[in-house]
Amino acid sequence: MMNINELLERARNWDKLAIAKLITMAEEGVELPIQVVRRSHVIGITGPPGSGKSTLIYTMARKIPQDRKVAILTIDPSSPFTGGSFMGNRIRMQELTSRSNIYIRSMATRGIRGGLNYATIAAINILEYAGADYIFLETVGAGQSDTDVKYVADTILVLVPPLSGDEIQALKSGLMEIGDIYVVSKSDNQASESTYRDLMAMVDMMKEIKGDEWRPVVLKVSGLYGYGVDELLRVIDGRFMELMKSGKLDSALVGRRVLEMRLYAYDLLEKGLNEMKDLERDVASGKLSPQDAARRLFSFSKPRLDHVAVAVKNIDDAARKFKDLGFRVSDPIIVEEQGVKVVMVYLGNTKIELLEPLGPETTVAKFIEKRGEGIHHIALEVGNINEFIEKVKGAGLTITGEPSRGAEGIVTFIHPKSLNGVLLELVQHLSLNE
Amino acid sequence: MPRPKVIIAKLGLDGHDRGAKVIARALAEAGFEVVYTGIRQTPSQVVETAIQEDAKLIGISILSGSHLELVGELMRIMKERGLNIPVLVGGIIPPEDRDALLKMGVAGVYGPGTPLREIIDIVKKLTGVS
Repeated sequence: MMNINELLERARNWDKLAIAKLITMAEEGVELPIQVVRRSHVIGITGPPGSGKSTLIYTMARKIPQDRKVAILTIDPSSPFTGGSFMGNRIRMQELTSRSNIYIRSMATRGIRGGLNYATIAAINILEYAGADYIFLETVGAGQSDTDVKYVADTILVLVPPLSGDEIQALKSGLMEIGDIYVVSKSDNQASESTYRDLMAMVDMMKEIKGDEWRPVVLKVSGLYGYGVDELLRVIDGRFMELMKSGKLDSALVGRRVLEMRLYAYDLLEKGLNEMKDLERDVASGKLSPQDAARRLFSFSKPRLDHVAVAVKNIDDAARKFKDLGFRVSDPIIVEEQGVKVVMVYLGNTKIELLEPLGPETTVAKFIEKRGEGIHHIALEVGNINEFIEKVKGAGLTITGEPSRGAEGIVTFIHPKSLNGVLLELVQHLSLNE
Repeated sequence: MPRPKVIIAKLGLDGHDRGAKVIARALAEAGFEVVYTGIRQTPSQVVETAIQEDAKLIGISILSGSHLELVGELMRIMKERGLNIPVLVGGIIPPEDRDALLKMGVAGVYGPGTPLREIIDIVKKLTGVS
């Protein structure tokens, strides 16, 4: 197995095997050390399902001179239920598969949003790095999420098939705002003429509203027979020269990076949703409202601050103060094993744990006697407590005892003598049925 | 969760792809990302597709009777291109040709009537999905 640097080196020479492996790595969440220098014309192709996107890409790619490198990313939806995907966009392009200048990759939407995902952006970065002159990005072709393509494509082609009269109305809201080139597809069909006229009328109307900045081109093509495709390619290439001259090609990288951040955040969120078992448990038991639990998700990378524990003499009094400050406060619970009465104060993605000793012989009572009320310990949530304990031992710190079941999961402590006077609790939360 | 990509291809000159589509669809239902190439593929097209998609397995469907020639060619090109992933063959394969295909390095031969469950299980096993 080659390492990342070897793969990057080979990808730079348009080695398709290396490009393919890198894209798979990106799909699996590996961060690749790629600095993008603009050289590709990223062309987003969108439009309703069945409007002829794959066929048009095929015809364009076939007509592009073979000394230019062409990459095609074609997105198919993943099943929200099984996660699987039936990907059939390649069928219309297979004839190009063996051409050395063409690389075609099918990608599934995966994830929670159903449009572009983080891996799509990573794949575009890889292909630009590999030296593609053209990157065609075929979207799923459904819904508003397709407007994300605006932030990653330099040029957006919106396909409108004939006989979609009423659909043009629907397109106004989303796709009608993002196109640089509107293409009436399947123009071998007679009905395309009236679709063309409708589109022209609408673009003229939109120009009046939006002013001079937005000047989309409207063309008629037939991907199947190739009508109008030469002209379409001329318009695309002309646009690329303009974008280069005006500096817009470089400035577009900002939008791509911001979208990359947003989409990576969605990936993290989904991962967090799958991992935050303690939140599910708290929602199921009614301790947290669904809304509070959802808010807490926004910091879930571990280890993270789980709670700060404060030893108090009168827990009802302390809890009331926090309540008066507007915090949500749990009902008191008795934890016999630790000899304490506990109240949780919920704060964003963490908590304050109030501890009142149950009797004078408990460790918390002794703590208060010796040092007065105040911070008793800090707790970190870790993903796997046993792995973390190995790290603690490796660092030469002392664990107070074997991990045991606490109120909210498996816990143990790092002895304050080995950690600058801080008693540090380690918590691994358990899921509902563990 | 790993989502191995699988290629389902119709090799050679036969246009009957209902079986291939059923298999592709069933694998998608089982959580795989399945690229269906369509009909009338050459061995070289299938190998290039598997490379570009970074596929973990190739499933071939042949009803035309030219399985020995086509699969032989496929295996040869795979070797030449350094592509080392399992190949399964389905379709109308006479029993006496099974061994010849297995000898070429094919990981399994599955004819009509094979339960979908069995195919999903073998694909899972060969792609390392537990």
